[in-house]
Amino acid sequence: MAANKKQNAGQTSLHKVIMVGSGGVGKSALTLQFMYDEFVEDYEPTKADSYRKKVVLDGEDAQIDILDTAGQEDYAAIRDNYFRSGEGFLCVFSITDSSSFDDTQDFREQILRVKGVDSTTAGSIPFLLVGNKSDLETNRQVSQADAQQFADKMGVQYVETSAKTRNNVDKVFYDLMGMIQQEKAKVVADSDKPDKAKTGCSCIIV
Amino acid sequence: IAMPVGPAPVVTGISPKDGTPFTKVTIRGENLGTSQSDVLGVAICGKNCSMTVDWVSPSKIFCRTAAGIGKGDIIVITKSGGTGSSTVTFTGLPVKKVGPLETSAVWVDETEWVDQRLDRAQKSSNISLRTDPLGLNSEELGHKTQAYMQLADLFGKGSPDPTDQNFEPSWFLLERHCNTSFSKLKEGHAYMKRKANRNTNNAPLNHVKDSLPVFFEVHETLSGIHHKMQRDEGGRKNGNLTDKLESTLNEASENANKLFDTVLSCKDRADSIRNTLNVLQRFKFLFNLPLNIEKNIQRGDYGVVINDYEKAKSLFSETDVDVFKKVFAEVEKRIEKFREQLKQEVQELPSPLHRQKKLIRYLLGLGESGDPGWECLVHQHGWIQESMIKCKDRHIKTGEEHPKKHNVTPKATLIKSIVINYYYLLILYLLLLSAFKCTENLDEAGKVQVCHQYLEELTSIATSQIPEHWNLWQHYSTGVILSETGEKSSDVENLKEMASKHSKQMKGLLRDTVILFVNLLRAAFLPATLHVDDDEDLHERESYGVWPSEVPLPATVLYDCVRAARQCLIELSSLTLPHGTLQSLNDVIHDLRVLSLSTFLQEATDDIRGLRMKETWEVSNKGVTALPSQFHNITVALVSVVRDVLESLPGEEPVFARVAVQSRVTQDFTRLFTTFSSCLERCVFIEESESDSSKVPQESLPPLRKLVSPITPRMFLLQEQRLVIGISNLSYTKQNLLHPLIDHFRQLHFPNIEFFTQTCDSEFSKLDEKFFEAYVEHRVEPLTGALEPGMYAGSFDWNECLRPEGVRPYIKTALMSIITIHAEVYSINPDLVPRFLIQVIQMTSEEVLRLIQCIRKIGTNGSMQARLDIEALQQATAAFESTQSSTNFVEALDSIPDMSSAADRRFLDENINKFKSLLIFQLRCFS
Repeated sequence: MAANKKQNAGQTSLHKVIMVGSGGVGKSALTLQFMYDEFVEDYEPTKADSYRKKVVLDGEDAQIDILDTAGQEDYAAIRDNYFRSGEGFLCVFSITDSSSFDDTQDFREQILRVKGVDSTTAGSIPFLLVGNKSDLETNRQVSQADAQQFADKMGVQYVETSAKTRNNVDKVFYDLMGMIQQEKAKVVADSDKPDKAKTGCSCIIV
Repeated sequence: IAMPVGPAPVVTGISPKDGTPFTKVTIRGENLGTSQSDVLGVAICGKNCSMTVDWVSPSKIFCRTAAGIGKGDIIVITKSGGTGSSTVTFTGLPVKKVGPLETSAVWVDETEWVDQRLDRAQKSSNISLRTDPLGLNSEELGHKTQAYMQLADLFGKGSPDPTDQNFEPSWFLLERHCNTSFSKLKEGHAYMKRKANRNTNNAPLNHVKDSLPVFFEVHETLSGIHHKMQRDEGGRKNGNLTDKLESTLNEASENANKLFDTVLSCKDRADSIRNTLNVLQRFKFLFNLPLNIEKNIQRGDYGVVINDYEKAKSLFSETDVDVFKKVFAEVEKRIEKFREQLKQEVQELPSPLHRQKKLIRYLLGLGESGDPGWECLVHQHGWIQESMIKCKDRHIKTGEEHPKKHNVTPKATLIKSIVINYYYLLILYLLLLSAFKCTENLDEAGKVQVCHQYLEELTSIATSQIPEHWNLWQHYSTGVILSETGEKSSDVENLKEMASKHSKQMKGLLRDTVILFVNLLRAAFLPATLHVDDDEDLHERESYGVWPSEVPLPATVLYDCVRAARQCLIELSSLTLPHGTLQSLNDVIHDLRVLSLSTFLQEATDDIRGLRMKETWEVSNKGVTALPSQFHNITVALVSVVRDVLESLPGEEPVFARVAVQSRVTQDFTRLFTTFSSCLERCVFIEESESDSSKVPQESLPPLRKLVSPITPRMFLLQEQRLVIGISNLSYTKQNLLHPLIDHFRQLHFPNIEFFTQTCDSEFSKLDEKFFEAYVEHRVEPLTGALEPGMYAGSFDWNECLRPEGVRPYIKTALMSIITIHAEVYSINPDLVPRFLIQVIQMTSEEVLRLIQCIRKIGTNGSMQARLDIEALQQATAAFESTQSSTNFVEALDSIPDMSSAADRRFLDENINKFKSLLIFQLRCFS
């Protein structure tokens, strides 16, 4: 982790984004839409995919590294490791599936736990609540108001997207990257905090 | 490889990003090749996995990872973009090892399996690991693998294995107890301490306890070795170690043999099959022969069949091999069939010579037992005869059917027409008559036509088939059939030898054919020449066909027959047939010639007989009608026709060579001329015989013509005039036509021409006499008969009569009659006048003489009157005076008392002169 940081500092900045959410909500679809402008109709459960792309963020070259994780509970055990390496999180649910919306709370909690922050410092974790499949308005189970309310409660931004129509796809990624960059700038400014985070992390492990 | 021209491939995505070897991954990125073939290779973690690349699009490739372990780049190499780079990495995970007895959901590559015995150390360590050294019951053992790589990254060298040299306790703990709570770990620590303490207390004992299985194993192994050694040594002592070994080896060999028995037997079978195949291949020719024979026969390549058969015969006929015998028998069977087929084909006639020759050659080539050539010849002979007979039967049948065809139509026409109109009844009648006549004519024409067709067909059969037959024989007998295709000379000699045996029979066959032909001709055209003596002959005669013979055949048909027969003869004699074969043909030609000659004569005779009806009695300036010239025309035409018949071709017997023919021809010939005379006779005397007009003459003139023909002048002719015309015609014919005609026939070498001339002359003379007498009877007798009554008219008495005042009227009447006769004859033929008048005057004078002599008593006046009468008559007819008549007149004058005085004489002369001057115009005709 330390080595990676050094590398990135020397060159363009690298932003590590983790896609989280229940199975079948469209994490991979969003990722592929963002990466390659393609919409995949076939559903194939993801294990763990890795993508990296050059982007221009605020007029500067940057790289986004997307880790598309498995939504299925089978892989829940290995999520911690991924979350640990993530710098920003897109927590995705499907507006046509209320259980996926319910799951977002668990994901949020797990992330905070892994990152070693409590609800007071939760704002330091770049996190975006994404309600996907906005094109399937007829099958909506989660109202925008409910979602917005929940986001407000958590103190995060809520965006509705459609991987199919590419609605708000770029927005969520770029917003998240913007948040990450801000957060990194804070870290650079206050060098103590990452150490704290590091020790906290080690403590839990040992 | 060409230099890459496009942008290099970049891999920007991998799904999934880690996995065991052979995981299917989706590689995403840019410029990942333009097609499947453009992708030259893919390397994941440095391991080539090009084999499994499945190109989808320039931004997506499917691939399966190779056995690379650890993190590595994904490099795509394309033709268009060269070697690429990757922004993402793939992490290869080690394969979980699976024991041979464990179930596994994935396929395990056993080739990398290591001998388990060598793995014992590992195993034992595993055993020790199975029980946690901390004495904790770890439930999360299963997650070990997932975190493996991260841990490996963290610790690099080192191992989580407590038995390893580079044991890394943290790794061990992370791997096994990452989720274990601290208090538990503490408990574990305490447990370990306790254990360690126990170990140090009872170290050797515990060690032995722990390693008891190892000790047992070692002990077992050692005792096993010891036992084996003992056994070996024991065996050596007994000295039967080798025996045992041998028996063991034998047993092993036996078992091995047993094992391989099936394999070996299979091999044997394969060998035998291979051998059989070899044999089949080598003798393919023979085995395929039956099929090939069939095929070639169907294709018509008979030559190939025969060649094959020859070859097979020379190769396999002596064979002792059963299979070959069987196949060869099959071949023989086919060939036998083929032979039969050929025989049938040979007997299919008509067929051209070259074909027959070919077929015979084939049969000979097939080693036909008999003599196919000769059989073919005999068959052909039979066929020719049969076709001739068939031809005959067919034509006889059509000949019989012919008349039937025409019988219905006229009747139908009749019934229809009656209904239609009354007005046309007359025309209908005429039509009907003509129709019947036509039918009759058609009958005849049909018959002639049938005869013609028959003749044509028969001769065509003879002229086409007999030469073929003979040619075939010649080719056969001289061996040309074989030698022309270059067969062996010995075969040719054999054939010749065979043929020479048959030469006599062949001659017989040919003669038979010719005789049949001749007899068929005879039956049709010369039925009279076929003699029937007994039943056998009758049967034979019937076989030649019995033609309906009511109407004799026209001479032209016969002549055509002659010509056809001659043509036959010419064609056949050009074949150099054996001597004597054509004799009968010669004979029939001769007979036909004779018959046609006599028929020609007969027909001419008929025509002449028919001339009678054509007499128009129109007299030309020569005093003759058209009849003689028509007769002449007919005869001349006959001469020209007959000339052809009589002209003998070289080698032909002259027609008149035989005496019987001579007499017959003479007879016919004479009849030809006598017919004319009799025709004339009948013409003249027509009124007598046919005055009854209701009696329709049975001549060839059709009734229609008789009905519509204009009324001829003869109706108004007197019998006497006809007689004169007849005489005129006769004499014209005799003088101008007869002898030139006879000369024509003399030139044609007609026999007995002198005798014939005499006969004709006498015949004509006789007729002339007859005519003349008839005329005299008709004309002169009334004249002379009238003299006597005239003389004594008005009870004239010679004795008491007055002095004469002139010539008495009866003389004048007689003279007028004579003038009438003169005029009559003169109008027809002036040349005949003297002959007639002389006769008339002679007869008149005779009568006058008789009457004068009958006078019993005559006075002076009477005698003067008589003298005046007689002299007047004599002088008036002086121009036609004959010696007889003058003597008659002189005698008559002498019987009258002589003139006494000169005055009387003068008176007499005066009166005569007066008479002459009175009748000057009448008497001029006599001058």
